[in-house]
Order: sequence, then structure tokens, then C-alpha cells
Amino acid sequence: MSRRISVLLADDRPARAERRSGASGRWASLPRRVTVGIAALWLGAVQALAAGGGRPASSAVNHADTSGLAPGLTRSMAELYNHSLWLYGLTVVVVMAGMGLVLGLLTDRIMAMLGVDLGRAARHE
Amino acid sequence: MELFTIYLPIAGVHFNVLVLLLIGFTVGVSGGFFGIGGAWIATPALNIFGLPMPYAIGTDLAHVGGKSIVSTMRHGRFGHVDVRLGMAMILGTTVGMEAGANLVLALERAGLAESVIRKAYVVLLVLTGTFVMADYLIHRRRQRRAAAGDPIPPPRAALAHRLQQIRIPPMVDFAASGIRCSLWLPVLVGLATGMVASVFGVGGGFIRMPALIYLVGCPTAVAIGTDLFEVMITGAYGAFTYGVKGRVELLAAMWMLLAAAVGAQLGTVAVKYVRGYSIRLLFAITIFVAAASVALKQLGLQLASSITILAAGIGISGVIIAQLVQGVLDERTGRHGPSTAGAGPGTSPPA
Repeated sequence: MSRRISVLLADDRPARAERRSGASGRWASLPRRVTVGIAALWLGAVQALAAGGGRPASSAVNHADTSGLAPGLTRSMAELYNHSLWLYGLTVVVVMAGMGLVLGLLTDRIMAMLGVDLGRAARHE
Repeated sequence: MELFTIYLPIAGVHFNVLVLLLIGFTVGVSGGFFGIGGAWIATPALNIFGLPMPYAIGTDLAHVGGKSIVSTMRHGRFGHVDVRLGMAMILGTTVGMEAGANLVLALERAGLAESVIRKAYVVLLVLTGTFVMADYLIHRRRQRRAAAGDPIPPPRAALAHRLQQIRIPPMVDFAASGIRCSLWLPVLVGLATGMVASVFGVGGGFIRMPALIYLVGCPTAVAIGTDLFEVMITGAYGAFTYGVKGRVELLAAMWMLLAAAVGAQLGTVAVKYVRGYSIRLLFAITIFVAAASVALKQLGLQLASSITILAAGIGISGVIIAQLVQGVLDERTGRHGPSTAGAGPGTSPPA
């Protein structure tokens, strides 16, 4: 597919000639720019998908099997995932940020209780 | 071991909790110490233990967001986070990442993306590691000369110092870093590092941290803290975008974050007890191992590559914790002073 896009983008001499011809050339090259933009977006999406972060696949792919799960945290997460990916994404951020904050304060306390000096540190190069 | 195995319903796999804790802890320690996200350790590690690659990437990004909060909070209290500088860097990084994506597309069109990018990645890692290592060795030689009473030639003006002299308005005081320079300097450095990170498909902490030291002129500890500030924001965005795409295994991320938070706290506090140049030495070694790991991957030795990077991560974390313990013990016995990893006996402390 990338070869097809390469072919599409390879010969830009006509477009360059149009650009040289002035303002009308600039407008004439607009469709090509749009095509390039769409191609770039599409390629980016394909790459992101290849890396695992693409658009949500069909519900058949993004579906967690909850049939064997007992009620609890794991099941709730799986059900949320099946219910709405947007809500799931938001939950991921909130849970990670919340846990980060709480654990940060907690580990800070533990370090202080262990007698580690957590005051402002001098910089040593 | 069955006892510690949990079912991850999103990815649909069984996974050992102890492995999640180990990976989280390792990445937490090295991330807090070097100011990096640590995806290059966690992602292959999660993958070799059975999490499919898309979920490994998303889950790692999610826990990086949480873990970086722990490290940034602690670095902030140490006075190691320059928020203004971090914001300027984020501005440049965002634009740079977009430019990098376009460069990847151009390489795609030329049919060079796969081969060029991975080779260039190895070269970049080796160059970065060599530069940081050379800087450390020069510093050590100067120390030895000073200890022996030999005359020391005045140091050449560092690149960062020369860049700070470029007076393009607006000139900005970055108080936490103790530098004054054009706003364009961190923006452009962010742009360059963001572009490189985007091309190589990595978070970019391992490029930004040395760039903040050698191009912007930050003290090592501030470079680490400020980079973590940026990692925290990009990590949160990554967690959201991968979460929406259904590629985050939240349960795994939570287990990882439990251990990563402890590791991040230890790694961050260790910075206080280790001299900047010793951090640079450990960083250079880590970068060389990362280069070796990518080279192995290039040769098709995927498993060896993943094991190398995980083993190195555990080893480096061990060294960092040892430095922390030594520092705390010295502090308690009243001999407080940052240790010098790699410094041999009979050497005097840096001037």
C-alpha cells in the first residue's frame, strides 16, 4: 500500500510547474495537497495500528470475555471496556493519576519514616 | 507460581503478578534516576512474558504516566523541576513529533523507513552514549590532575554556554535551572528531540535528558526532574489515547504501578546521593546496553534483545539502590556527600 502512495507522490513536476506559474498554480495544487494530507493521515493511522494503537477495531476484536470472571475489580474493568472505550480510556488516566498521587505521597511518608532526609537537595555535579 | 498468576481480561492472557512487579520496579528505579519513561525496558519485557505487543506498549505507557507523577513530585520537592523550561520543551516537542512523523512518511515513500530508522537508532544511541562517556572521562582526568596538583587548562566554553549567549528575544530566566537564555533555545531543542523521538517511535527521555544538560545547560538533577515532568504529561496523553483504542490492560498497569511507585521513589531519592557526573556515567552504560539490544533486534535475535535489556535494567537498578543505601548510611554517620559511582580509590571529590 505504501508503494501505491509512493507512486501517487513520486512525480510532483506538474505540481511544481503549477506553483511556479503563480497564484492560480497554488490553488491548482490544493487537491494534491489534500490528497497528500489524506495519504499522510492514512499512513499514520496504519502505522499507529501496526504499533498497536490504531483506531478501535470492531467490537469483535475489542471485546473482553467476562463469562468466566467472578464479580469484582477484574470483571468491572472488563465490563467497562466492553461498554465504552472512551470511558475506559478516561478511567485509565484517572486511575493511573490517582494511584500515582496516592502512592507518591505514601512512599514519601515511608521514606521519611525510614529517616531519609527528603529536604531540598543540593546539586552536585 | 499458579498462586501469583492472574487473568488479564482485556488482552485475554494469564500473567504472573511477580513478573509485573519486577518489571514495574526496575523501570521505576531507572526512570526516577535517569529521568526517562523506560519503555525500552518495559515494553519488550512485557512482550517476552506473554503480553501481545500492542497491549505491552499501551500498558507500559499507562503506568509510565502514573509512575512519572511519583518521580516528578519528589524531584519537585528537591527543587529539580523547572516547570517553565518543561513547558517550553513540551511546546517544541509537540511540533517536533509532528515533523518527525512527516519525515517517517518521506522515508516510507522512499522505501527506506525500516532499514534506515533502526540503523540510525543504533548510531544515535552509540553517539549519545559515547558523548556522555567522553564527557565523564574528561571530567575524571581533570579531577585527577587537580588532585595531583597539576595545572588544569581552563575548560572550553561548553556548547550550552555558547547557545545561551544567542540573544534572540524573548530572553527568559529559568530560575530552577539557574540559566537565562532565549526562549527559542529550549523550544528548538524540544523540537529536535521530539522529532528524533517521533522518527524512532520512542518516548525520547533518553535523548531529552542529555540534550537538557549539553544543549540547554541544565544541571544534571534538574535535567532529570524536568524531563520527568514532560514524561508525566506525555505519559498521561499516551495512557488516554491507547486506552481509548482499547490497548491498555489496566489491571496489569495497576500492578506495575504499585511496584514502579516504590522504585521511582527510590530512584529519585538516589539522585540526591549521587554526583551528576556519576549519573552521566551510569546513563552512558545504560545507553550502550540499549544500543546493543536494538542491534540484536536488527539481527533478528528478538528474544536475546529483550532478555539483554531486561537483565541490564535489573542490574542498573541494583547499582542505583546500592548507591542509595550507601548515601543514606553515609548521611547517618555524618559523612554525607554524594557518592561517585565509578570513581576509583584515592581520587578526590569533584571540585
